[in-house]
Amino acid sequence: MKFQSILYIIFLAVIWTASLCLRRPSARRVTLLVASYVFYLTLGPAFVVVLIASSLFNYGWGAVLRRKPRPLMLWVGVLVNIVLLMSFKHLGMALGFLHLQGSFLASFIAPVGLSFYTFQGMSYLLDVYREAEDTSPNVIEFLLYMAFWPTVLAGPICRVGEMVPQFRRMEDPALEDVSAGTQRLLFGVFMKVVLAELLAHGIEASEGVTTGFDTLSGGWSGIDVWFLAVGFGFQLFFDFAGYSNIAIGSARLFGIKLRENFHDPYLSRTPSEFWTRWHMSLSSWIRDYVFFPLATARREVWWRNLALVFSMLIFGLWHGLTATFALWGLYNGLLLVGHRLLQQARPRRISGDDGGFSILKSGGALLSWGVTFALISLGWILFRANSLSQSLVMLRAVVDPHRYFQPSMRLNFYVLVFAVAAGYFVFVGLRELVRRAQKQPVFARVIVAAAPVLYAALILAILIWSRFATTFVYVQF
Amino acid sequence: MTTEDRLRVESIGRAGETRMSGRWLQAIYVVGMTVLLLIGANRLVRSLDLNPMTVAQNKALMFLGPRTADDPVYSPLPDNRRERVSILFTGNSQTYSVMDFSPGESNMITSLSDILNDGLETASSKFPIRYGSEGNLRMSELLIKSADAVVASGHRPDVLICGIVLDGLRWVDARAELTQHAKEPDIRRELDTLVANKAEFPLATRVIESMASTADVESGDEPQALQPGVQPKEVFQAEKKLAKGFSAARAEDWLQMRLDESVPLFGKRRMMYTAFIYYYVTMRNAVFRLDTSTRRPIPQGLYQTNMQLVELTLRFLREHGVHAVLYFAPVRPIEPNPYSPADIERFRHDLPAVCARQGAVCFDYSNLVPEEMWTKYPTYIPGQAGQRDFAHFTGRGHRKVAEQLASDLGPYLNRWLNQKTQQK
Repeated sequence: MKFQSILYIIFLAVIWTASLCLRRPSARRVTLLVASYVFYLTLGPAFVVVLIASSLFNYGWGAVLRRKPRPLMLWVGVLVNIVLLMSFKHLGMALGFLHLQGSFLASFIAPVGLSFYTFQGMSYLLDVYREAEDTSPNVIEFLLYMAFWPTVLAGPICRVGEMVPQFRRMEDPALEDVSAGTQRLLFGVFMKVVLAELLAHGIEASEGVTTGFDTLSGGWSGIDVWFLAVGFGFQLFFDFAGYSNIAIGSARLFGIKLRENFHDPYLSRTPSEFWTRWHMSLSSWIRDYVFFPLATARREVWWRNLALVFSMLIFGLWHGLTATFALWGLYNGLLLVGHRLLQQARPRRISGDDGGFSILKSGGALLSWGVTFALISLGWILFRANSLSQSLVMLRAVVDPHRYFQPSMRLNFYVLVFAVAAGYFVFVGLRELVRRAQKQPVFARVIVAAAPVLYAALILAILIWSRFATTFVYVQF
Repeated sequence: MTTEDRLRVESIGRAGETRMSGRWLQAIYVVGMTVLLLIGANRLVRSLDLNPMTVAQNKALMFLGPRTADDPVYSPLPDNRRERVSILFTGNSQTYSVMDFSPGESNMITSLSDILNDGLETASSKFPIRYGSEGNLRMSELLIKSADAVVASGHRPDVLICGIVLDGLRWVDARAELTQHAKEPDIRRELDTLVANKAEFPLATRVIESMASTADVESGDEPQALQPGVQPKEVFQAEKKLAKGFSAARAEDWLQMRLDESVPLFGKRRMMYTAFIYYYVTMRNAVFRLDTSTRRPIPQGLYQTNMQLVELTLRFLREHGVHAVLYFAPVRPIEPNPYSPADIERFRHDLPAVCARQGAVCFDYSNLVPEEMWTKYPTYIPGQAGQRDFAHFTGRGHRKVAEQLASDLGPYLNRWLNQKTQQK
């Protein structure tokens, strides 16, 4: 079952109504758990077995760790999770090698959301070991934490400490929750079904990012690569942030608040800022469980920088064990280190803010934003390219002045990427204006009066594009 | 608690209640108005009637359909028998549409059928021709059409004709409808085989892989196996595996179908998209000052991929015993021309070479249709008034192409017919 489907709306309505009818929080938890397994079951019965096995193992091992919080016990738990992740993710390759593609084992290949819920399981073990976990969930609560349907496919990656107390309360959702949840759902579906799809496949077939990366197969000019990089960056953003909005909105309908995953990442003025705004649930996971423990092991600056690069390498490899993801992680790690070094090196008199690459305070912010945006966008080439050689060819085109401005794609592609990117920044500006205007009662009323027009337009656009939908980049991880 | 405190608490409570009921009213208004607006849109859309083929075209341009209710050209392919050579005529809108149509005129497919069969085709005609053209045909779509023709057991055509226009080389990916068609199990099997032998045509293979994944996604299947980097074989296997036991996708399809039938906002989604594209293109052309004679260069990458697709298609047809006939479609002989002389020369050189390698027949009709057989867009089309039409020509032009084809193809057809009748 996909989030952006009629079936999902029906599923959501049924569970929501059932949940409201049940008064006891424990009954609501069981309902949500059953609903989560039903939801996950639609993606493949074998996948549920893996999910339950992972959940029970982490719960059981957590109990053991609570009694005997020894490093060896922790490492065994973490290692089992990593082995589970690696083995199921690469089961297809192993079965192919053994000529067992037709066996029943093939139904266990790459369970959807495995990377996400495995990280949730590992964070539980790490928190228990560090004695940072004091909710002591019972088995139902923990199973629900691992399987909760809004998060199980692609996050946000949550922590036990923030989810279990909410599961325990399980009060009737307030009007504010329902209203905010519905809004997030609507915007999420619009971002995913309309904007991400437009960028992926273009206004007509052959005019999207997918064609540029997958079927153009060489001959990229500099301008092509820039547009493809920016186009893919926005596609990924709308795709994943849209998905996250749907997940957060779905949970909010039940009064459950999930952690945010994106916070206007393309407004970042430094790479460090970007990584506090992009895929926040994973970046904070990496920060808390990889970077901090590593960085605090030694006091030297070089060690901290190395820890940073290593953490970003892990971040890259989380997406898959490929050279391009590894390179993408390293690239971003080096960007972060570069930013740190620049920050340390710049003259104190102009370091009034966190302007990062800025040289002059006035206007520097814009320059800093532009440089950050360009560097992050270039990184997406590594992330999206089908092979290392393709990414190198594309990156070479960026620095090759020869036929730099000779486009290889159709005009609509360039118009689309420009319009969507510019439209996004205009939207952010307007949103800020509306936020300020809302403080005035008169404007607040005007905004409420006009809201139905916006919502109807969004629904109409979703309907028009829904026949062409859709891909989801992050569900593969 | 003093009386004053109690009063304060009560007044706060009352204010809270007022705010609460105000929020409820607000919510009811927003939901109600949104629903009303959508009902209004639903009523408006009910009368929307756009033909995607003609919305942006000259009304004098006829997309010729059947002449009679049982026009053989537009009927399914006949049984493949020894005493006849059946022909599938694929092409694009140039192949089947007639500019400034006058009664009695017909397009090149129908004309060719009449010439080869001495009038309207009958059951005993030696060269039954069938219509298989698609507006703006892309080379990936030609491959799908070829696979579709080949898998029609008992109705397989002996000859496939295709007119290639240069504009078709500026696209790569197949459109959703044809991509969806590529999901038919028999066609998929053929594409699987092509993908398995990918070394020779890597660029074309990539397009097929991409096509396969798009088909899966649009059918509502779980897309996890369809992302970049997944091996083509895995893509196809994952799709098959999911299609068997997966019921949520089927339930969704069923729901969508019911909604398509009963709610215009659902049923006319494609039409609304067509309207969107039409208005977008009109606006884009105005902003960028584009007209029909604006240069349309064919980027090297797209050109190479398309030539590989052509060659792969020819090889595929040859391996399945279908004779392929390709021709370089007529180019309007006038300047300014949307096609660059370099692109024309390159294709004029490459197409025969590709055909020769794969044993296909090749004709060059790029200079065949003289200027007087082409027309202009009439004044009532916004943004295109009076501009030259570089894609379609008049009925006389169609007749000219058909006659030339009949003359050039005749000897081949007779030879193939002889070979067929002499087969045991």
